[in-house]
Amino acid sequence: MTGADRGPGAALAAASALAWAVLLFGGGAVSVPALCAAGAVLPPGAALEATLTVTPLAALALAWGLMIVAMMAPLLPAPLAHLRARSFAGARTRACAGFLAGYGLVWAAAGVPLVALALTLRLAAPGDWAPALLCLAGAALWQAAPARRRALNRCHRLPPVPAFGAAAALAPPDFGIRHGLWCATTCAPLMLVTLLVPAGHLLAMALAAAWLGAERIERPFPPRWSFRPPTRLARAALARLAPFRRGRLTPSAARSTFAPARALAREVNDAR
Amino acid sequence: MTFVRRNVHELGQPWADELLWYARGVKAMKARPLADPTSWTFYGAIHGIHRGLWNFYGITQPGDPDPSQADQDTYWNQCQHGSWYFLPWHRGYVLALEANVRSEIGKLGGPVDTWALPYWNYFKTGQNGLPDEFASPDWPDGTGDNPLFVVQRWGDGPGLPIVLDLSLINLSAMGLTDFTGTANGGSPGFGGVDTGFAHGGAVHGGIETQPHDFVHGLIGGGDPNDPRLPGLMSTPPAAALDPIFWLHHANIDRLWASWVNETGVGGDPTDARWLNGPASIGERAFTLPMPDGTAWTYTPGEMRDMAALDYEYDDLTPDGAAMLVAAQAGARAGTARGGMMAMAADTKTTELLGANTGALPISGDTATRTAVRMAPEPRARSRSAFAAAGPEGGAEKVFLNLENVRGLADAAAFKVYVGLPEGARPADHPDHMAGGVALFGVSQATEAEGEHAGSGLTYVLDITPIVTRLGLDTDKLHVDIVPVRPIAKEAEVSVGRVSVYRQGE
Repeated sequence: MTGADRGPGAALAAASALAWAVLLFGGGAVSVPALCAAGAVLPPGAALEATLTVTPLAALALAWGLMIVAMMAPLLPAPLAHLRARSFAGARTRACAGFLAGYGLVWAAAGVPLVALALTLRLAAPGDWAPALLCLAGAALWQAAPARRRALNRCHRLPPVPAFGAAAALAPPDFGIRHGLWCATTCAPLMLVTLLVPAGHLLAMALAAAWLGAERIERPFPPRWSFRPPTRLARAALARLAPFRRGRLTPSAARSTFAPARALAREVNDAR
Repeated sequence: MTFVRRNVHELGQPWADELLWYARGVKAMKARPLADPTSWTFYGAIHGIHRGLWNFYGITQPGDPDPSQADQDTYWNQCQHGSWYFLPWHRGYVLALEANVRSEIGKLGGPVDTWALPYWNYFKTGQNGLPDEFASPDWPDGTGDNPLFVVQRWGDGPGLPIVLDLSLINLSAMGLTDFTGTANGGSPGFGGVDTGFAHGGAVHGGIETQPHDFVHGLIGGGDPNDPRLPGLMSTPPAAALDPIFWLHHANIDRLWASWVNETGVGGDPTDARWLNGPASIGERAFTLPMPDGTAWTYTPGEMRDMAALDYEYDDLTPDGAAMLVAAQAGARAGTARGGMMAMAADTKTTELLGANTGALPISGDTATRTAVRMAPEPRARSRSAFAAAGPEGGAEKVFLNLENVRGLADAAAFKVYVGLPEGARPADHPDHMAGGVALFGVSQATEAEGEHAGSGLTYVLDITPIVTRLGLDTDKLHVDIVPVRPIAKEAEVSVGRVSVYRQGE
C-alpha cells in the first residue's frame, strides 16, 4: 500500500458503529446486564456457578467484547495513526493488528473481575440502584485523583516504533498492552457503572463513551486532585455555531456553518 | 500611519533612537510586578513560565505574588510551537509587546507615532553578531543597568560576545512551497503541521526548526557548569524575558512575510481551522493584554496581511542580498514546472524507507554514528520515482527523521550528516550535512506529565540533494550526529529512532 494514507479514524468509527448497532438491535443476547438479569431469576442466594450455567461464559465474553469495541475504538485513532505512520507501508496492517491484540488482551483480562463483580452485586441486590450509584461516586472520586490523571496522560504517549526483526513484531502488541493498561486504569470504574445500572445500560454506555472520548482530546495536565470536566469538544461545537449566536447568519453562511459541523466528529477521529 | 520595522544593524549609529527608546520602554515594563499584565515578566510568562528557574535567576522573587488564576488561565503559557499556529501567534505576540512598549515610550514623551521594533537579520553579511546595545551591561552614558543586557546569554560561553555561526543556521525553509506540513515523516511544511484535535505538536515546522529553534539555542546556550540551567533564550518558559527574543521573532516574522511574497506558491492556509485559530477547535483563543487594560483577541486569519496591520519591513529579501531574489524567482518557476509541489501535503504518499535500530544516546562532543537500514521495496519505489522525474527529481523527496528526541538540555544542538564514509571527519564533508537541529523545548516535551506525555520532539530534514547525489543503491545509510557544544551525560539526550522517509506522488 503506497497511496496517501487515509488514517485509521474511519475504520475505527465503523467498527464502533457496528458494535453499537449489534448492541442496540441484538436484544438481551448480547448485553452484559441483560445476561446478568437472566441469572436473577434464580432463587436468592444461588451461587455464582449456577448463574453461569444459565448465562454461558461465551455469551458474556461476546457481550463484553462488543461493549469494548463500541466504547473504546473511538479512543484509538492517535496510537494507530502513529503506528501506521512509523511502520513500513507493507507492515501497517500487521502493526495495527498487533496493537489491537495487546490492547484487547488487557480489556479481556479486565473484563473478568469487572463482569464477575457486576454479576455478584446484581445478584445480591437485583433491581437496586445503590451499587451503581455507589460505584458512580467512586468513579467520580477516581476522576479527580492524581493517579488517574497520570494514567490518562500516559494514554497520549507515542513511543518509537522498531522497523525490523523481532522487535518490529513485538513492539506493537507491547505498545497495545501498555496503552491498554493505562486506558483500563482510566476507564474501568466508569465501565463498571454501566454494568451495574439496573436500567438504561446502553444510555449509560453512551454517556460514559462520550465522556471518555471528550476527555481524551483534552490537553494533558499535571497530576493533582482536581475535577475538570472535558469541555473542549463542546467549545469546538460552540465555535462552529458562533454565527448563530451573533445573529448574522445568512442561508449561504448556514450551509458553510453546517458543513464543518457535520464534519466535526469525523475530523476529531481523523486528526487526533 | 505605517510602522516600519528596520534592520537593527543598519540604524545608522550606536544606540540609535529605536534601541534607546526600546530600552526605556523595557525598563518601564520591568519595573512592574509579575502580577501586572503589562509587566515584562508577565509578558514573558505569556510565552511560558518556569517559576523555579525565574526565582533561581533572580528574575522574580519567591514571594512575588502571582496574578489571579483567571489571568493566568487566559494569558500564560500560550506559545504555539510544533503547530501551524506558530507564525500567526508569534506575529500577534510581537505586535502586542510593541504596543505595550510604545505606550511606555509615549508616557516618556518619545516617538510614539513612529517607533517600531527593529529586526535582527543574522543572515546578512557581517550582521551575525549580537547588536552591541544588547551585549553591554551599560547604557550609553556608562551607567550599568542596561535593560537590554541579560546575564544568562551563554551562547558562546559566559562573557563572550555572541556571534552566530552561519554554518549552523540556514534559510532552507524559504524554499518550501507548502505552508502546511504533515507529521507522518514527510515535509513539516514552511509554517508547521496541522495539529487538529491532536495535541503534542511533536514535529516542528520548517521555519521553526531553521532558523528559529537554532538561533534560540545559539544565543541562550547553557550554563557550562550545570547542564540543567539553560540560557533564557534556550528554553520556551524563559525565552521571552530576553529583549533580543523580540528582534529574533521580528526577523522570523519578516521571513514569513518574505515567503508569502516571494516563494510561497500555495500561500497561507485557507482552511477555516487555521484562519479562525485554536478557538475554532475548542482550544484557548489567542489573547494578549494591551496597555489600556483590555484583552486583545486575534486569529491567524487577521494576522495574514502586514499592510492591513499598518506594518511593513524595510527589506523583505531573506538574507538581505538582492541576488537571492533572482534565485527565488528561479525556484518559483521551477516549482511551477514541477506542479506537484503545490499540492496539499496530505494528498501525497509518504512512506518509511528505512530506520535504525534502538535509541541513540547523544553526549560529549564527538559524532554518534548509526546505520539506517533501508528496506528494498520502498527504496525501489523511490528510485523509480526519481528516475521517472528526471534529473531535477520532481516531486519526489527524501526526509531524514530524528524521532522521539528527548532530553533535559534545551540548549543542546547538533549537526546531522548523512552518508559519510567510515572514519571520515564530518567537518571535512560539509556536502554531507543534512542540517542542524536545536532542542528548543525538548525538556518540556520529555516530561511524562507534559503535553507530549514524554514522547519528545521529532525533527525532519530534507536530504533529497544528498540522497540523489549518493544514489539509493545502498542497504545502509549512515547518519552521524555531531553535538555543536559538548552535551553532558546527565542531560540524557537521546534520539528514539532515526528514520528515512520518501514523499512523492
